[in-house]
Amino acid sequence: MTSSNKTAARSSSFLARVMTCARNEKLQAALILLLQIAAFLWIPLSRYNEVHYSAADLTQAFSLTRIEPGHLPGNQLQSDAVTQMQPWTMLNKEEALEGRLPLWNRWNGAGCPHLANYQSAVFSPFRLPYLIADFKTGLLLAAALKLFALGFFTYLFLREIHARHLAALVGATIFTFAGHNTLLNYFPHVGALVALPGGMYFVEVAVRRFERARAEGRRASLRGPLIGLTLVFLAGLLAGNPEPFYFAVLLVAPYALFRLGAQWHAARGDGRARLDVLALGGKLAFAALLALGLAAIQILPFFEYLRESRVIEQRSLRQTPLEWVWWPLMMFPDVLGNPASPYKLSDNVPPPNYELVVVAYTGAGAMALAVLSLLFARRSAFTLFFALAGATWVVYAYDLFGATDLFLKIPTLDMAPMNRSQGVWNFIVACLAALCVEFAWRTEGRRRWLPVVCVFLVGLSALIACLVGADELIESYSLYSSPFRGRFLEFVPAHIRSMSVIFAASLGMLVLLWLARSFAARAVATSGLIVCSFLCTGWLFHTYNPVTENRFFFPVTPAIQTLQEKVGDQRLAILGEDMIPPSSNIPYHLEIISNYDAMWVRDYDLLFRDHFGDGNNWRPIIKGSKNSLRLFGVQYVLAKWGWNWIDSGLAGFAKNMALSPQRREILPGKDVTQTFKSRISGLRAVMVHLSTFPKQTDCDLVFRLDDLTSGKTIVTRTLSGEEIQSSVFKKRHVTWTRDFQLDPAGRPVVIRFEPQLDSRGHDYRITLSTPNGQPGRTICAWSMPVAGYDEGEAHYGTDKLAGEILFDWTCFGEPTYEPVAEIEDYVLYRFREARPRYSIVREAVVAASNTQALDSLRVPSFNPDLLVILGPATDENGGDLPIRVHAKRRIVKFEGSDYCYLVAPDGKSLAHIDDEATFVANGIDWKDIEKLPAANAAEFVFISDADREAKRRAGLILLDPKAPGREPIEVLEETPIETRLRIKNETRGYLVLDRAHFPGWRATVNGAEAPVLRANYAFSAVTLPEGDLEVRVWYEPASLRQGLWIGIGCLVMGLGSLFVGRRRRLA
Amino acid sequence: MSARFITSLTLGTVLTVGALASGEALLRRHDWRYYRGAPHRVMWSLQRDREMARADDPYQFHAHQLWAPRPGARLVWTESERFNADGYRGPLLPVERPPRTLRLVALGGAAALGVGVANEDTFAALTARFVSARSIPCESMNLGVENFSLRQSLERYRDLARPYRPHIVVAAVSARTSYSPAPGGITDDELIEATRPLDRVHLAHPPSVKDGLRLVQGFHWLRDALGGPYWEDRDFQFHLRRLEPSSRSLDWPGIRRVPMNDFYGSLSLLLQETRQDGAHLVLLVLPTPATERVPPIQRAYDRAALDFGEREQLLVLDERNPHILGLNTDLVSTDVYGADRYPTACGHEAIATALSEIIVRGISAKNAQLENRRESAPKDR
Repeated sequence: MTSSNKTAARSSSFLARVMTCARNEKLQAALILLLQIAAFLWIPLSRYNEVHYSAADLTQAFSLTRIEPGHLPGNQLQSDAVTQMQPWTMLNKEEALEGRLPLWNRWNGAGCPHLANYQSAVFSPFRLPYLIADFKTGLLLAAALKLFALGFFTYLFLREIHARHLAALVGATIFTFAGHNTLLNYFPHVGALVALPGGMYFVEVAVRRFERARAEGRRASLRGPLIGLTLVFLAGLLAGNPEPFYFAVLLVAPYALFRLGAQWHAARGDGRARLDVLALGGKLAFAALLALGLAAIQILPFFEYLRESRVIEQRSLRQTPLEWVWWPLMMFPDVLGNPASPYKLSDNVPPPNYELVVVAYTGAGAMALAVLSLLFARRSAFTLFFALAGATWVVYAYDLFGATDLFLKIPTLDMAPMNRSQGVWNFIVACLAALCVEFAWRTEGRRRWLPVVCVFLVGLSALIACLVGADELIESYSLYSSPFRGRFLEFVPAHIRSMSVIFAASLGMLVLLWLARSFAARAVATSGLIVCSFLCTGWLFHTYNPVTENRFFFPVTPAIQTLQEKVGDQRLAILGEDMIPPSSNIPYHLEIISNYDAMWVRDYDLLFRDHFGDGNNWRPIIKGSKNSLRLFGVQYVLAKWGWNWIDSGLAGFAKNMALSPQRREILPGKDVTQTFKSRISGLRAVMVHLSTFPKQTDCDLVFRLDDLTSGKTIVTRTLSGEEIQSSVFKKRHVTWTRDFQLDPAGRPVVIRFEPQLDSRGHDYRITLSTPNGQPGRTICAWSMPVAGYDEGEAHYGTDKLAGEILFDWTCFGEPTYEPVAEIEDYVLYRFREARPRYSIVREAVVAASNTQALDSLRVPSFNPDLLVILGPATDENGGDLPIRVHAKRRIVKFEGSDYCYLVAPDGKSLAHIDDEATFVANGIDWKDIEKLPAANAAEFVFISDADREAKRRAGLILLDPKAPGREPIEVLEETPIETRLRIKNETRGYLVLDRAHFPGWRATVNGAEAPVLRANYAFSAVTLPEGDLEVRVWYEPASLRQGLWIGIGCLVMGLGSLFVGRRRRLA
Repeated sequence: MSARFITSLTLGTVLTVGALASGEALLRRHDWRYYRGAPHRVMWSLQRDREMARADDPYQFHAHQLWAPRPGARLVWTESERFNADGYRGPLLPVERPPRTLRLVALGGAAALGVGVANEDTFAALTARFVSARSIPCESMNLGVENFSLRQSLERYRDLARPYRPHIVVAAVSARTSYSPAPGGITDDELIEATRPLDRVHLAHPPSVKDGLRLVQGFHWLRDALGGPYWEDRDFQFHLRRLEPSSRSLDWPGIRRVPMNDFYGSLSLLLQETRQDGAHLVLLVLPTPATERVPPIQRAYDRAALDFGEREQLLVLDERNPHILGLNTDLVSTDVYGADRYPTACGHEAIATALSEIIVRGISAKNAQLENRRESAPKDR
């Protein structure tokens, strides 16, 4: 053959191969799905260099990460993806690159389990793109992979149940871009749902092969589908959210039973065949259980965390059903707005939020097809199955006839929220729609005028009904206050028009499909259906998951940079709601005490809320004390406006939302004054809450502080309006829920001066005046109708005010907080009394109960440097705790005196109990105090407070302030899951770690296993003998080990069963 | 054509016609209507406009007054009383004034009409009776109409009162109807001007059957709902609804039925025209029941009416009059104002007493004036 002939032969064979490939329907389906996914991800793809596929511009809502004032976030409902999923993915990658399994997140909540938090999805196959590519690419690839897997498996499943190629594509399109999979695309729920179409597909393949093999009288080769079932279930289990997987299994299992049932029925009279059916069932169950076993490495730690978390107690057992009232949204999902569009009433409209209501959306055309498929239910068992499944879901999800109570009898169903089952509904509708299209094909072009007219009338009725329903919905929200109302006409009519046109087109395509005779016309009609399905789902929602300009993607602002430099890896407490929401601090490697993983280590979370307030899921610090900071191991405090309100009563009282602050315009001749008595020494600053009117800066405030006791003027300072305004009106000023809601907006202004060492007990007066303020153009102070401190008076001009002005002096006393840096509107303070990360405490007391432990920690004089509260004792840890058995003690208090005394063993000597902390240290109960008449005091001898030895001999445990455990502790190695320390310990004590207590932490002291004790309710401690010690503390949860062994065992079993199966076949 | 085809065709036609007829009947049963731009052309309210279109409603549309009593319609709070043939309450009076008989006309809203009381207990009828008893014979025309604003009262005066050449025109000035939000976003004055030509249009082009078919309206609705104009109307309605709650504040941004300028204008025109017609205008400004808080806008409108009266040296009956004041203080509020905030029979009597006193004093003063003139006139020698 000549070379030209060879070339021609090669190119023609290449062409032939291409044509063969092109004719390959699976390849076609894959390409079409990829095209659709590309269209869905068009914006992030076309702007790849400029944006990330993420809603991370939510960072612009917070001052510390804000680089563009006034920026409106793309979609506030996607906050969890920004504060959880994406930072966790970054952590996964970081740990993986370090060669570690990401077991523990050290950056939040004094440390919390990471792998055990299911949503971290450490082993998810859909997180693989992040490992092999950069994060931006990973975001896109992961999204595409999830959608493709869903769509392709759906297509394969539909083909297996004899839907033709185009009909299967209709179903695949509907399901891939249904509400659940598009609106939750950022979340792991979508990946978990792959188990549904995948599971259905492999079950069907197994059953078909079995059927064929039986018909041909041979053994079925089930290896492929069983492995597939195992893998797809494993992927679903590891994808990062158990709830959609759970509901997926609730559909796959009955489907398997349904198919096996059909086989059983077909095998009637043949006992052997029926046994084979049972065996098939057993194999399918085995494959599913194998997946469970292989996923044990994720599941067991998750269960362990579940046991230790708040989830169980927090999640109500009574589910909230979906509501019928939103039915028009099934055709017009955006009539009440869309959080990602320019028109929206609120993120919470429709309530509870847009996402939860619209997740069930599949498009009106799909719904119509699904309903029409019921006409063929008699002809097709599959249609019947899906119709029944759909009806069951509707009854369950909408709690029809009070059916929820019946459903709750299914074990564990009460734990899964109803609104995570909508993915299953999407799948059911998609399958029914595909089957309807298939049946329309099979009519083979016979004229069906009557059904066509019915379709037309029903379609028109549905359209009119949805229009009327949408109109009523819009009317019901017509009085809802929203700043986006002006966009109604721009958005809603166009939305209604487009959805109606698409719906009409879908019905038109169906009619054409029904009536047409030629293959080409039918193919065009079905293709039209595919396009319509995509337009009303994928294309409609393609902007729902917004893109974020690169610069907004976890930006390292100057504020963050300064924090990173100053704070390093120390623990930081950010006061107030304008914070770095957890876990978006992870990319910045800033350790904060707040945690939001939707699980929350129960003990830590309870202690946190007890000390810092119960704000919202992000656990902002809304109150607190110095002791709280020490307890939680905080080293730095970041206070907005420099106002560190820790220990201030003002923070709690004055933000009582039932009280409205009143504006007091400071005018010439109308000063505002406030007197107060200082209860602290070293007063060095005062805070006053001030406002200015927008854009008004040409007014000055004169602040004067007078010491009325000494008669001196402490400070006179003039502040300009611009200085007071600061960023309030220059940038987009966000007022948080717990900020004072003032109009005009204002801020706390801190005025510092020379420390007044003798300020305790002195009376002071603040005077606020202005030389040039005018009504409506001046600086305003604010007064509350009731008094907070109640040791002073407020005046406005000559009028005495009923309450006080908004001010604070309590938090500017002793130099407990050293200002380290001014970071824009914040001041970073170093907490001088901070406890180190690892400290040694000499004295311990075992709490009798959790309540007692909490109560002890609330005592103001409790010093975590001197005393550690261990326990309470349980059956498991009782042997490890140093439970003191006290001889019978007598505690007395004399009438008219505040002091309590421990009666010494001699019965005459009395040792004064110094403070509440000593009470706690001695395990004394308030109920034990014996009240005696004052005259009885003469019968006793009082031990001097200076004679501490005598007090100790009397049996009193004293907390020696001179000897907190400040032995040098050398950190030899420190990773998130392991710490090695070298300690020279003088006396027996306890190594207290600032890490949250959680099962799985282990310790050795000089190589010998030492129990890790629960300390200070939520933290950890290890008993230390005296001497030179090497302490190793590491995280190795038993659940992980067990899960690993189970997984290995299952893998061996699985491989073994394959081997056995192969040998049987060969035999 | 095969028999089967004919059968199918017949069946299809019958089914189609049946479906259409059922649809039409259903829509009529629910009294559903649709006209594009309807929210902009609201007279009274969407609900009342719909009711007025029915023949059994006591009111009907009117080109000038926007709506007016339907002649012969029953007043719903009475057993058998009806509006007379000219469309006002009370006996039908001859256009020609009887000699030496005072004719009094009452204009205004529900308070003037006497909602809740019989005609003989309204202040118009009572005033006529009291004056007749104390002075000269007097008759009254009650031209009050529910929910009438001052602007509408002006039109009613022109249409109905003027031909009767009254001596006294009592205008019950209702601030509430004037400052209330314009239901269609158009002031009463603009609405009156817009509908004024309709009386001619109405005669020239009666509405067609096609326009009245609900299915046709339904088709228009569907087209507009898909095309957009329907949502513009709805947005407009919602906008008005959102504005409504704050309508009692002075700086309300919405459109009132009779804005302050129109209010002054209507008062001025009413005064001018009554004077030109030789009548005396008396303003009646009823105080708000004591149990209610007076919104700032009401005070502003009342103040405007009083200032106007003072400036033009008109007789103004307001709460400064001891009888009117008694409506608020001496008498228990519920004696004077019913649950619907309209004067009760007791209240009407108080108003009539005040009015009749003024009229009788006025007549006496005039008689005295005439007497003086006669005496001072040069005598014939």
